[in-house]
Amino acid sequence: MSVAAVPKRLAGGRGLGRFTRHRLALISVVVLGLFILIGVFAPLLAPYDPYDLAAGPGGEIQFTSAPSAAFWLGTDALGRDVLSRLIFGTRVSLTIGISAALLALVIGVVLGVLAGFRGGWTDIILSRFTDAVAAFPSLFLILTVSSFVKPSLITTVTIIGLLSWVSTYRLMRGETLKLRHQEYVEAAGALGAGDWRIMFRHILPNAAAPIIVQTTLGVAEAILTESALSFLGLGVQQPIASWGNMLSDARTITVLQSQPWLWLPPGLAILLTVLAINFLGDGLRDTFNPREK
Amino acid sequence: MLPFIAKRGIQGVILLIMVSFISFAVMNLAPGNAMQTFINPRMSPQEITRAENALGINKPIPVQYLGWASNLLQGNFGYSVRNGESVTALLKQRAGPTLLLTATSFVLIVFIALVIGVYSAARPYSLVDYLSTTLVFAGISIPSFFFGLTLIYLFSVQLGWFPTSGFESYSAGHQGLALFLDRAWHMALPVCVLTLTGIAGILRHVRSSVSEALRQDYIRTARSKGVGERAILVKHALRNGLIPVVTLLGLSLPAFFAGSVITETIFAWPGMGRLLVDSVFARDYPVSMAINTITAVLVIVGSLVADMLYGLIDPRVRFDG
Repeated sequence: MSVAAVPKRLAGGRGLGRFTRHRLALISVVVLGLFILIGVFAPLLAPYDPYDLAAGPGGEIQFTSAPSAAFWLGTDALGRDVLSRLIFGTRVSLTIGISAALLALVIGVVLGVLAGFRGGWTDIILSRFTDAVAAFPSLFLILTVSSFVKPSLITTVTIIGLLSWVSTYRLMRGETLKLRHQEYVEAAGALGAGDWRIMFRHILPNAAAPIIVQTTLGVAEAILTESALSFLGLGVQQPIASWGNMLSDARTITVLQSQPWLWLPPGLAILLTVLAINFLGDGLRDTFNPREK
Repeated sequence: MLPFIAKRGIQGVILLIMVSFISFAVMNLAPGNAMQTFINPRMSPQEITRAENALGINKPIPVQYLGWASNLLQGNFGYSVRNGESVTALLKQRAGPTLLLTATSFVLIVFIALVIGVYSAARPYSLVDYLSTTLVFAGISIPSFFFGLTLIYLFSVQLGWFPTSGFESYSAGHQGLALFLDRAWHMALPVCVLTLTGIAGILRHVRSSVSEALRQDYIRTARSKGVGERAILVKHALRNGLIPVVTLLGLSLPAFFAGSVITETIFAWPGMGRLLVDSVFARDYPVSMAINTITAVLVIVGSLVADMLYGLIDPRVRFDG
């Protein structure tokens, strides 16, 4: 019985061979690995305290200074080191992106498998509810709800996660409908496996491939949403640094015009990370399902 | 076709009712109530109760919902908490600029996606094909605010070609053609942002459906009959490329509206997106929920229209589903 639980394409070595042929996806794995390491070891890597005045080697404190030997990416208006904030921002932005995507994954998978497996009214109610949620641009609802709650890391993750599970739900429901009448699923039922066991031990693992791809792309989207929210001032709050809120300084024309070191690096960091995740997701999709495309 | 329209229409109405439930629930989640903005420290408890009765906020929730929904149906979205203005009037002012911006970008997106998509499907691994892949990945990966800021930095601040923000040069008092050109000049950069960030999904689908069509038997038949390559592309392939455009016209509307929020904020464009951000900051829930509700309605109507157009473009689609 447990053999059925291991998705063939994940277990086989052939998939890996196909994946390594995607050069861009491989480079992306390296880039993402680097960013994750930077996030994990942020306290060791950051040359200064990201939340406090940074004193250079001679003890000098500089406000909005251009990049120099002491401050590689310059300092901001409060005399903080931009590089250190960027490094700590990596940690914050990645954590939020990944956590929000995981939350959306759990909600989407549980509701999707329920709707697909139970069918009937469960399906009708859940699917119509999902259609209604999908009719709202998620950023609109996220913006509106974030004005009710006190902004913090946890509320940002929760809001983004709670409002971005629609595509995972639709995917999981579709996969469940496809798998529900497979012989091994009916056999498990005939052998006396309960509904929950069938849903989560037999159907879910076999739908893993498309769900993994979807969740990978979901991380990219969550990072973009967080950065947009923080850019507008509704997500991660000062003094905590995130890529998005570092960019919000550039909304004043002086910063935009004459202090590009304040907004270019975090913008490029978002672009690079999201690009890498999208390449990775595309590579994974090809690996799991070579017929598409 | 008629039963199909009726069925979709009924589904649409059910969806609209669900949407109104969600809107109402979210609005009631908001802390405090409309009363707190009208309250005056010198009011006596009796006066407060009277005001509450007048506003109807101490009635049971279902009654409140019905009152709110029937107002909505009459086009009355309530009053702004900030300045007491009618939300409907506010939205009327802001709808025009947003429509101008989004419609222009949408036409551009469809045009560019069709041209590049069909061409890159016909010539895989050509320069145009690489350009289309780059556009797809750039479009889904660039944060719209970062792209917008970069464009302002390059083309407004450094080169001085375009204005940094705004809707028109109010002080110039342009008329006629001059006004039109002035608008276009102000729109150039925001339209660029919306076009790049909105094109990815449609371009990808045009390319894949055209390249799938090119592999079909009827294309081979047409070729063997001696139909020219250009005619094959324009008559057969392009038609197939239109199908995903129409489908996505409905599906991509939400993302498209979301993109306009950020773009309008960066370029100080006086549209609904910026109104949403402003009202979110001012905790002006009637305004922000009205924008949410209207957008959801537009999205539902959009996908309904897309479903119907679908059958006009692709005769294989039968309206019995």
